[in-house]
This record gives sequence, structure tokens and C-alpha cells, in this order.
Amino acid sequence: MSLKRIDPVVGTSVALLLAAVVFAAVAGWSWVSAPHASGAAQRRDQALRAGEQAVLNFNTLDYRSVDAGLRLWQQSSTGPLRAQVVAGRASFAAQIRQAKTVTTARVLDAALTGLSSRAATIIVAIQITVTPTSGAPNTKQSRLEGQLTKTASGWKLSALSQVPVQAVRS
Amino acid sequence: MITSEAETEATGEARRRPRLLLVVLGVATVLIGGFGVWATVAGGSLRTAAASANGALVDRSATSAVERAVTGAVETIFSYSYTDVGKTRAAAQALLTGAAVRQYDQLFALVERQAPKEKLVVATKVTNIGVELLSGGRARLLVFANQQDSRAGTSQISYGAAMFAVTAVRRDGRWLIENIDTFTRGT
Repeated sequence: MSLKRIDPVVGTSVALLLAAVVFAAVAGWSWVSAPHASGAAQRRDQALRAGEQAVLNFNTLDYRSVDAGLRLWQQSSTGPLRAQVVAGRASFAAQIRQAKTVTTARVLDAALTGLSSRAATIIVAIQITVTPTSGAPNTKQSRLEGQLTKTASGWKLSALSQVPVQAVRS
Repeated sequence: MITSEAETEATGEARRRPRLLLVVLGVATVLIGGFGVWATVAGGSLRTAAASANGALVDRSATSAVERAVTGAVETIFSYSYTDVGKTRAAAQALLTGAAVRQYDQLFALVERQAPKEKLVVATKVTNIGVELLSGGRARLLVFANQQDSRAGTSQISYGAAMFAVTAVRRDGRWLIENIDTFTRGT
């Protein structure tokens, strides 16, 4: 079959269609292979935000409103940490009322060091200020590590501790 | 396909057929081309979003790569022996860039004066490291490290705790420390 036998208009139309098919295939592949937004990024951001707030809550306590403060601790925690808060609540409240201290905190920085679908590990650089009723406020920086667990009502702290200064193994 | 007979004997019916064919071809071309345009735009916007998106912990291999690189760099630049402080400084030069060079020079000038006098040996170990931000060859990490200071000739050993945020940039496939924030500002 020679080119002469094909209607030039039809030939051009077929060529255009073929070009469109090739273009669509290339563009389609580019779309399919582009990275699609992941649920993991959303989970990470939620865990980090909730973790920062929970750690902040656990470092905030005013002797004039101990009950409200400790209720917030309970709401921010789950599992073993929550059990600890519940068990020690009465004696801790009495201690704070006697010491008459106001503790406030500022998160300097925070990051997740691990993340799975239902659990995360957070590290927090925090500045804690303890103000007694008389005398100057005492400010210190602290390194905290917390375990986060995803519950039906969001991410909660299940463990929280200071990162110890230990011997360096070389 | 159109035959030569149809071309030469161009009756009304034969002319209608190519017209119908042309319409079908045209519509198909527009539809398929339209999909191509849409896919190009959609793919492009996905790539733009991904390029600026935070890959911390989501892109696991890139996350652990930057964690490993910064851990190694921090342990190298903050570990030294009074017998050879020059070795640490030389190693640091290959691991730092930008503002971090000046920050480190200020700090290390002190080390170079004090370390030989006190026969100081310092070992630094990163205990916790987390990536906050990882996007387009830049990363921000929170680092907790422990330092062990010992003085040669004595049994005196002291331990120190450090926390700081590191900004790292990727140059020629290697992560370099660009800034060290020790949270001293505004306190």
C-alpha cells in the first residue's frame, strides 16, 4: 500500500490520533508513577502535635489548681503512665499543695524517633520553670523521651522519662 | 481503509463514510489528548507537592540515612583527645558548612587552648536522634548526646548531657551540618 492511496485528511487524522495516544500514555504513566500523598505523613504530624502537647501538660502544674492540672495529666496519658498518675494522684496533689509551687514549661523542640501505625516515640527538648511562692523561679532545660500510643481519642503518652546521662560506650 | 476505487468513484455515500471516520478520529483524538493534558497537570502537581513535602519518618530509607550521617558527624566533631585536637578539627572541616563552620571555630578555639592544659579526652555519643523535617536536600534533626570527659593521668571522669537541633544540607550526595541550635537564645 502506497501513501498515495490514503486520503491525506484521514491520514493526518490517524497520525494525530496516534500522537495523542502516545502523549496520553506517557502523561498517564507520569501521573501513575508520581508519589501520591500518604496517610503516614498525616499520622506523623498528628502524633508529634499530640505528643508535644501531652509532654507540655505533664510539665505544667499550679498548686492553686492541682486537681484540674492532674485531670489534664490523666487525659493526656494512657496505659502504664495513666495508671501511675491515677495511683499517685492523691499523695502527689497533697505534696504540691504543701510545696506551693507553680510549674510552667516551654517546648524548645520536639521530634519523633519512631513511628508505626499505633505507636510512636517522641523526644522533647523542654525548658521547665518552677516558681515557689517566695524566692526566685528556677529554670532548667531537660531532655525527655516519651512513648505515644494511638487510642480511640487520639495519641496519648504511655510512658515519659528523662533521658539519663550515662557513661559513654565507645 | 479508503480504497482507490472509493477515491475515484467519489459518490455521495463514499464521501459520507470518510466524514464519519474523521469525526470519530477527531473525537477520539480530543478525548485521549485531553486525558494526556489532565494527567500531565495532575502528575506535575503531585510531584510539586511531594518535592516540598516532609519526608521525615515517612521516607524511611532517607530518614535513616540522614540520621546515620548526622550521628556520625556529631560524634566526630565533638570527640577529641588533647594529644591530637588537630585531627578532630580537620575531620570537622569535611562535615560542616555555612554558619556551622564559624560556630564550631569559636567553640573549638577554646578546646584547642584548654584540652592540652587539662589533658582532656572527650568522647561524645548520640543517644537519641529524631528527624523533624526532611525535604529537598535539607533536614532538621533534634539530637540528644552524652559526653564523657576524662583527664589523662587522673581518674577524674565527668559526664555531660547535651541537646541541640541540627540543620543539615545534602551536597554531592553527602549530608553536611549547616547549623547547630543549642536553644540558648531567648532564655
